[in-house]
Amino acid sequence: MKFFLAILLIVTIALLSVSARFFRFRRSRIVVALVSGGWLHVLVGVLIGPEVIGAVEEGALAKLTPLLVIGLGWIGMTIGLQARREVLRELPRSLFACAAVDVASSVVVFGLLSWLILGMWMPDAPVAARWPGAVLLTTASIGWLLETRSLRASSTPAAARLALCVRGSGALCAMAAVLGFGLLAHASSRGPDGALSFHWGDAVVMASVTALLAVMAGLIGRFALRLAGGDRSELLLVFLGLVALVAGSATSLGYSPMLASALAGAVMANLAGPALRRFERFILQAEYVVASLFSILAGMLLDVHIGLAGVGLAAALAGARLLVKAPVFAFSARRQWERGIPGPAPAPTLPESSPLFLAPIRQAPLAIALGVALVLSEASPMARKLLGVVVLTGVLTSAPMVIAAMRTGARTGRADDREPEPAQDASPGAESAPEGGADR
Amino acid sequence: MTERLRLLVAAIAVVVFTLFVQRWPGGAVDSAPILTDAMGNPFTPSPSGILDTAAGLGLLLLGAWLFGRLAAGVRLPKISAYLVFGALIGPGALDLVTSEQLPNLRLIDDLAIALIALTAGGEIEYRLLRQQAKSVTLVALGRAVVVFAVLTPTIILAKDFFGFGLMETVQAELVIGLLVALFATATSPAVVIATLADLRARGPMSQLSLSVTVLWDLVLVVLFAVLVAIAGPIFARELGHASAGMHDEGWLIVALAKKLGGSFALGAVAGLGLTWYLRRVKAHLPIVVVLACFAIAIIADALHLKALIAALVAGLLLRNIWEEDSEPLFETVEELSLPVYCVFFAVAGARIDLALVEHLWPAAPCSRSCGPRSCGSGPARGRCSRVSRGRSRCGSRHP
Repeated sequence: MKFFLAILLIVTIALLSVSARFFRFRRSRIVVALVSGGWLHVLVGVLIGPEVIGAVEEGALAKLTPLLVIGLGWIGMTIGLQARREVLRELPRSLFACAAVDVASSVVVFGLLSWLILGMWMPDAPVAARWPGAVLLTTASIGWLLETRSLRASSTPAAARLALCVRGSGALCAMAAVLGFGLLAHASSRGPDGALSFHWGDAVVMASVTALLAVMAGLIGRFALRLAGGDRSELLLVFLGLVALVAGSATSLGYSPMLASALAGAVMANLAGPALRRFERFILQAEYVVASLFSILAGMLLDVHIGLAGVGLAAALAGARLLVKAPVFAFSARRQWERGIPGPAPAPTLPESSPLFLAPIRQAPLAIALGVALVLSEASPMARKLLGVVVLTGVLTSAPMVIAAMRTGARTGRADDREPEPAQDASPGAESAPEGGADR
Repeated sequence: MTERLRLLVAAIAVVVFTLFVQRWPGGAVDSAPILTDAMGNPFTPSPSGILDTAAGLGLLLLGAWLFGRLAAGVRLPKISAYLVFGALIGPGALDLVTSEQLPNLRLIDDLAIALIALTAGGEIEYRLLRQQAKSVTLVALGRAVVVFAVLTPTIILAKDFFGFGLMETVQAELVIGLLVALFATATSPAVVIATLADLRARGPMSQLSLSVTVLWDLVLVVLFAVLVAIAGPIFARELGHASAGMHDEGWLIVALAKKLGGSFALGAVAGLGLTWYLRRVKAHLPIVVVLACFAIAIIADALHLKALIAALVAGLLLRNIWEEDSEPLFETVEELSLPVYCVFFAVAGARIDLALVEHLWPAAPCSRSCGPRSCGSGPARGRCSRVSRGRSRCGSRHP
């Protein structure tokens, strides 16, 4: 009974948060900056979860596992569906370069930082036990929040083009993060004695089996989509069925549900043909509600008692983002600008300074999904604490942006709302997160 | 390759996909050892049943749908195909959807019952119902009389076969005969609605069959309560508990009034709430419909009411009083119905105890209560699982 009530409560909150009234409230830049990362939904989840009010108890939380698996599969598949060959081919190389620079810098800086601090936090833990946590914190630091509206002080062509750069390269980073987490986090697994150790051979097998699953699911999905045609009822069935089958199968095997679904989505994107367009439109309609729902569930899962060490880790990660992300992005964007950032020709002069250069400071909401994936693969107290650290990092990195939004003006104007949308294909609805809805 | 062959290949591919995953070594553990994390905190890993549920749901959805389309290609009913597919992959056959996963799919069951009842209510037009009142009553009563007249004596005569030959009194045998006959009269509104949807049937005949089913379902609640009240003292005497099962006469009336009146009231409130939403907000309808169906199921469960009747009343009110407002809602319900039917009937199929069906096969024509048709709704809901549980305890007593 309590379990059903919990579900009712979660869905009601998710619905309220996507209502027209709430959207009107979000016309303010400050509010957009505050809620874009999905942190408010996470906060609601924390409040109603077992840690605070206890409307959802631990036992009921375990029963939500299938919902979480499907949620992760949904996010993964939405990301994978963006990887259409012809779209990727048309994207300017500059976006790939910006994304590659961010991935490389994140792996070096945040990988090292996480490894060091986790070593201090859990000194007795063997290397293999620290590995999944370090992989989570590193991949969670790749990319950034795709919302740019709250940071656009002016609606000049240069600002629009820079916003597209933020979003395009951020979307590519999201794909890299899912791939990285799915492949690396499971390299350390438990043996028959229950102890964590590295099984690189198993990781290779995992990658191969996941790819095989994805190809099989992609082929089934292609056929099913053709069969469904334009029937919305059948499209819903195919999408739910595919997501549940692929993500659920990967979870059953102890693999990453998000990676399997993303790969299946990518296979479908490159095979499905015209039926895919209808399918994508259909998925995007539910994107924001699913993201809200998922954020609330994540809030219920996380452990708020992360202690001083956890707070320190989150603060260090947030500080590093502040120091590294913005300069690295500005550097790569400036270098790539002339090579053709997407947007209206001719290329406008890159502004010397813009709040948009600060956009990469904010942690991507995809990080929450990665944290949930870790909890799902091993429902340990440490995994929940790490999810707490990820969420806190996201909140801390959003704070400077709220200040920036306050400085750039309280309300968005009509001109801003009509600014050119980014290439639909380049902005992954998948970024799980509420910011997609904010921008739309 | 013909379309049918493609469908068959796709359905087999979905099953093979799951077989491959299930047979692959590794994955979640069935036993739950205590593990420790990197900080030395002990924890219990999630059991495989809950982790595998999502995959089971995906298999049920896609597999049942493909199997249904295949069946439709050879002019067989889709619902039977969903049931057969469920039985094939269920614990009784291939065991791709295991008995550990089935309880986790209860959520879908509750949602399905309410959604199907909402659809059924929305299909009944008061104007037509009034015109057909005489026919509805005649058909319902005629069918009930025939079933009772044939089945009750048959059950009593074949008491040894059914395993209650040891009853000492004629009254006990009669009550059992009546109960079985009562179950046999039940026709699930879920099956009727799904069949009508499958055949895209609209008209006086479909309206009549739906009205008869719904009306009889309401009567069944009353008759079942009366029969249970009569059966209580008789069985208590059989078992040697003289005082057990004795109640005053008022108890039955109050319980019935509470169940039916409460269910009607809940349905009316749900209908009002949905109308308000449709007039004022009218957004995210698929999620609102799912939420409303959950709400009806949860509240009915908590107050010991009948979710089916409540949702039925809500649908009736929406269709007949607030028709203009409710049109988008019923369109949404129709969109959601396919996945719900697929999972609902496939799960019902998976719950069939094939060994028990094989054992009772000779009695199948007169013991529909073991079949899946009655699993979905009414007092007979969930009976299959109870029968199968009973078999494991007392299977040897059957001839």
